[in-house]
Amino acid sequence: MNTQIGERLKVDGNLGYIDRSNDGSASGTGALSAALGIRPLVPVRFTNDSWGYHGGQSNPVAIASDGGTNSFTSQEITANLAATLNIAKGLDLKGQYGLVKYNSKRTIHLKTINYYSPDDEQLIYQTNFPNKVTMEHYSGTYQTFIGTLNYNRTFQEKHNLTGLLGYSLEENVGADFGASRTHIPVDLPSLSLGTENQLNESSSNQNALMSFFGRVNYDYEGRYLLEGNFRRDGSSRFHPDVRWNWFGSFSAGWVFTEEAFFDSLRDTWNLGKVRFSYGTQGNDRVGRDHPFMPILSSAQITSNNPIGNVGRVGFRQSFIPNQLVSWESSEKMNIGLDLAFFAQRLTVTGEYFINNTRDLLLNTPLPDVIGVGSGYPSQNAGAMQNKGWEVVLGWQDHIGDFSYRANFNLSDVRNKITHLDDYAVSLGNNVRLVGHPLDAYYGFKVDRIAQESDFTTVDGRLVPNFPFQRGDLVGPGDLIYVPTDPEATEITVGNDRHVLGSDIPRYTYGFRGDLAYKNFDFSFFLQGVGKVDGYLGGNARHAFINNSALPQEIHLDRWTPDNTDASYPRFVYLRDHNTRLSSKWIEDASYLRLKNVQIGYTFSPEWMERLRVSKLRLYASADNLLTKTNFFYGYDPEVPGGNTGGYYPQVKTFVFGINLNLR
Amino acid sequence: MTLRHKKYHKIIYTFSAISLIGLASCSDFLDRVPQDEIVNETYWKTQEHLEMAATAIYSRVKAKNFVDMENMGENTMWPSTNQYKDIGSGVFPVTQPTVNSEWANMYRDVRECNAFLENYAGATENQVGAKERLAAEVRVIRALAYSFLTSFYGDIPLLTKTLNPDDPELYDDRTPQSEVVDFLLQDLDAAAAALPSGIPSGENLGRVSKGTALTLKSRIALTYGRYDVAEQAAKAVMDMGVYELYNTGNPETNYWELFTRAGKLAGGRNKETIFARMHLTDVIMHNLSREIQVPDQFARFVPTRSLVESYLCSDGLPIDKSPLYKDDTYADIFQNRDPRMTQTILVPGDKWGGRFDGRPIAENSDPTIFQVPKFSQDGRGSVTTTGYYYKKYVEPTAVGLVGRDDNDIHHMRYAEVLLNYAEARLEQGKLTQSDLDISINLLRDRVGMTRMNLNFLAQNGMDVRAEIRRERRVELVLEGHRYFDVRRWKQGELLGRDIEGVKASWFSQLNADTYRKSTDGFLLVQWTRAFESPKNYLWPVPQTQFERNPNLGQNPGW
Repeated sequence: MNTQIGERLKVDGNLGYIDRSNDGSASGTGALSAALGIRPLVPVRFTNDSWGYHGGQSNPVAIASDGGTNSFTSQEITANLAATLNIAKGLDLKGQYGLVKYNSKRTIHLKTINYYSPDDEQLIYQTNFPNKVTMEHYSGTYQTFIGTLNYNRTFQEKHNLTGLLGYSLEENVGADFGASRTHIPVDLPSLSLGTENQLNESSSNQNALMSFFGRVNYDYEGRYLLEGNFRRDGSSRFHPDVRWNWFGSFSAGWVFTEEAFFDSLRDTWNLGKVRFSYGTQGNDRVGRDHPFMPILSSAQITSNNPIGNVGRVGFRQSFIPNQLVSWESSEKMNIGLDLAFFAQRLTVTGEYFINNTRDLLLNTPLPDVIGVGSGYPSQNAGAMQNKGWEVVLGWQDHIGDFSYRANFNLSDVRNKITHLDDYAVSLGNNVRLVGHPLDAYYGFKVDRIAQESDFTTVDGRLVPNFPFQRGDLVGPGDLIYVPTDPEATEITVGNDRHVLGSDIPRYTYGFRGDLAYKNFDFSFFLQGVGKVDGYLGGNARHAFINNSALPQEIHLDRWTPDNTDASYPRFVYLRDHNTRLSSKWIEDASYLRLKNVQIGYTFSPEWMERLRVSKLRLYASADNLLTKTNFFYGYDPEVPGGNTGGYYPQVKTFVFGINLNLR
Repeated sequence: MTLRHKKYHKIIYTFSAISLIGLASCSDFLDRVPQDEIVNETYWKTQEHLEMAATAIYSRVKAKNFVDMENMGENTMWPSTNQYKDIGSGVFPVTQPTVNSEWANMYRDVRECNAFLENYAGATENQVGAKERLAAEVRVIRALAYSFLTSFYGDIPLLTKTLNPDDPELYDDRTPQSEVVDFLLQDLDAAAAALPSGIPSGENLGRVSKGTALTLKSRIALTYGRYDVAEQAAKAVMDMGVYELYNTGNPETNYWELFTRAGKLAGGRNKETIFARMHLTDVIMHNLSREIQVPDQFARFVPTRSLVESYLCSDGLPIDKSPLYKDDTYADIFQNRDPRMTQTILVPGDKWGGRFDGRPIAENSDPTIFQVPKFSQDGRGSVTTTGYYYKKYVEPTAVGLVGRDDNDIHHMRYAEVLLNYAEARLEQGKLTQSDLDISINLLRDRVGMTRMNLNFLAQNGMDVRAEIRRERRVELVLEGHRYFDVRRWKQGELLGRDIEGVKASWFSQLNADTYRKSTDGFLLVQWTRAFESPKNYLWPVPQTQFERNPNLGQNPGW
């Protein structure tokens, strides 16, 4: 909705309302992981019609069919209102208000599943006992207000000047509560029918931002462009003493094709622009609302020692506050080039950028004598650089009724940590080390698989002739790790781990094509990554490391005394000395994917006129139709690094649809 | 349309007003306080505040985890990889997660205690002395955490205040163990002075009391060779006159019943347990009973040959000396033994929750009775790797269901006090028959076992120290103590030995080559153990902690 009131006032508004709901299994993806882990000989049902069960394994069919439901409903309102008041020539006052408000409810009905022995009909196993209903209510309000004073004038038809002063407020408030009861006598997901263990809890969150900002743009005949920005941001997430910070930017551009010396070329070379920008930007995402406050949160009765033989609630501090934590800031430098040729048929854009992030917000691990479990304080503890470039090429044209358009983009970004405070180094599978990408993979280098000839028999035991980590029970068929020091007699986590790769993609590219002939249209979108390292761990990659890790086809080529030239080490039950992160398990996760392909037919307007239809289009569309990758088979190359199999892959979707616009 | 316009005007004015208010009070807009959490400054004001903070601290006391620690000793054998088992076997890397998590978790507990002790003094109290009582409870829990820490890692950082990220103490080196022990003994004395001597009951049931402080003191003193202190602390508990061994009058079930629901503190009949981690149906439960006799998988806790053979015969002689001992069949070895054996280890003919045992299913009309151990997994009954099963600590009603065990986990029992007393007297060279009669012989009387007699031991060439240690082993088995005792006795070589089970000749299926046997014909269960001295007497300083603070140094051999 928008309307003009009198000469000077313009009002815009829109209002959206969404009511959505979905139903799922009470155990979420539990059935998926149960399906991955269940031994193939466990029956779905026993001969006595009970759900099948064997030795502690979950029956995925039982969970999916009888385990209960998870229903979610949500009512969401979005509203935006804006008013612009023209004060004087070229001077506007504008106020904008935005609102997102939701009320959602989730009902989880956990149903007891009983498993009976086919031998004697005895109850042998139960899941979700006692049955339970949990109802959770979530509410949230997100509000923004932006007030700006805009000035826009052209002087002497050459000097274009725009100025802006602004003030904004942003607020996010959420409040949730939940309640549960057990022992519901009938099969209804009702809280009030539950007879025991009435529990309830609540939680809330809120944060706010306030900003003052301004901008000045100047251009001379659209040829020389200048822009300056400043802003002062305040965040509720930081202590009042360090809450506010200044940020700003500056940019300049030169459209050289507008110069007189270009007049003769302009018919073929339509646009040429070089631009440069430099600026800073803040980030207050610390991961919690009050990181600077010493806070006690509750320890619920289900975790406490029931002193007096009754459930008790306790209070404790669960993280260490830091009053000094403040804005992380990114310094961005960008040089760009925009070109257009042949009546805008060919467009070329090139960028080169360097982003230096300072005062990186990190939850830096400390010596654990500090005593907070994993609630380490947030600190501004490092710096990081992202350096890269991007090229975008576009071509569009038509030959009679046939029109076509092609767009190609290629970009690269190199990430590395440039500084870390002493204690901010983190050495795990994902490492934080200066000079390497954030969360790079960190582990041992593998030489090869050990053969029997790599061992000497001493007192009837095979003793390796190569260095290994103390405590490992190494035998033929296990991995030989490379020591950093060739003279080393053992492998240690302190000396022999190295950066092995990174899951930050390099050389990402996309290609989009659109074709149209008369009423038909066709488009496709290819997307890919040229270089990225992937890592699958746990049950996704290995067999028999736990009782639910089942062998896969690739494990047929494991090391055995008869298959010494194997691609996979020998099987070792419940041992991890071959499966810890090493170069052996880092895989090429680059891919090329046909992300979308679509074909459509639009009915001729003349045709539709009588039906009061302005547009009618039928289309068929498919997502993720093809993926070409050398990644570990069966897994999506975009699976998060270190995933162990409990991941729902990207799905192929086929859509047949109608676009209908009524007048 | 004109009507609508008016409406918009109003809204705009409202917006302008909002923005002005925002400008006028810009700092207030950014001041947000937690709505469902408590800011530290507003806490620690009343006795109720202290009680709730203490509640959170009580929840940090090890629960079933304390029993799991039995896997580090050689009494029991977990069927698959288990981090405690690996630690006990001596074969594990410095990166082993449990080595790090015990450190991190226990220092977390210490911090919570320190936060309490820094803040409690300013609170109001409803009863005079309540604050000091609660503080003393917290001191004892802190001492318990420290007693584990120094036992595992030797020298440790000794922290008595909460630290902030910029405190240099975070990067200090370790305090020598002897200083840690001095501190703990003093702190426990201070705590004992402020604690009531009766057994807490009613709303205080399960709280730390004077007896808890003194029992822990005697345990720590005994561990680090302060035998006089250990004796005095143990005697002080004995002289309190409030504790007595659990006894229902039936020596055949007394001991076993203590570890069932009947023996829970909440049951009101147990005056033996000095400190327990309590549980409550539906609210907070564990899975111990099921893990001991799990009816469709490998039993997680199973007795070893070494344990089974350590029980005396009923005449007071060990199996290699007693004429009563026979081992021709599985059933034979349960005959004429210390009655605690048949109250700890499952005997053929016992009721159990493990369902179909080693007999063919078709021949088994009553799976609630155990007769023959099961060696191979078919998903229909409890399997044992050693051929033995436990019955101690099994609450029969809790075996059939996952995670539905509400039994207490006993941290300190009066039995331990009596054992501490006898051992402390012995190590000072002061042990007399009357010392035995007020300590170990009370344990024996409860189950109807022949009394320990110094003359009898001498006549039969039995070493008093070995017998006192044997007594401790069989009395406290499966309660988490064994690994700690073996190391303080400097008997680490016991941990390095192969783990064995039943005599293979008792069961025909064990003749198959798939079962490894020892040279004397017993089932071999684990043969990859090693104990290096002094290395394995301590855990390594966790790799993660060493990386974060190299000043910690590393323990010998690691």
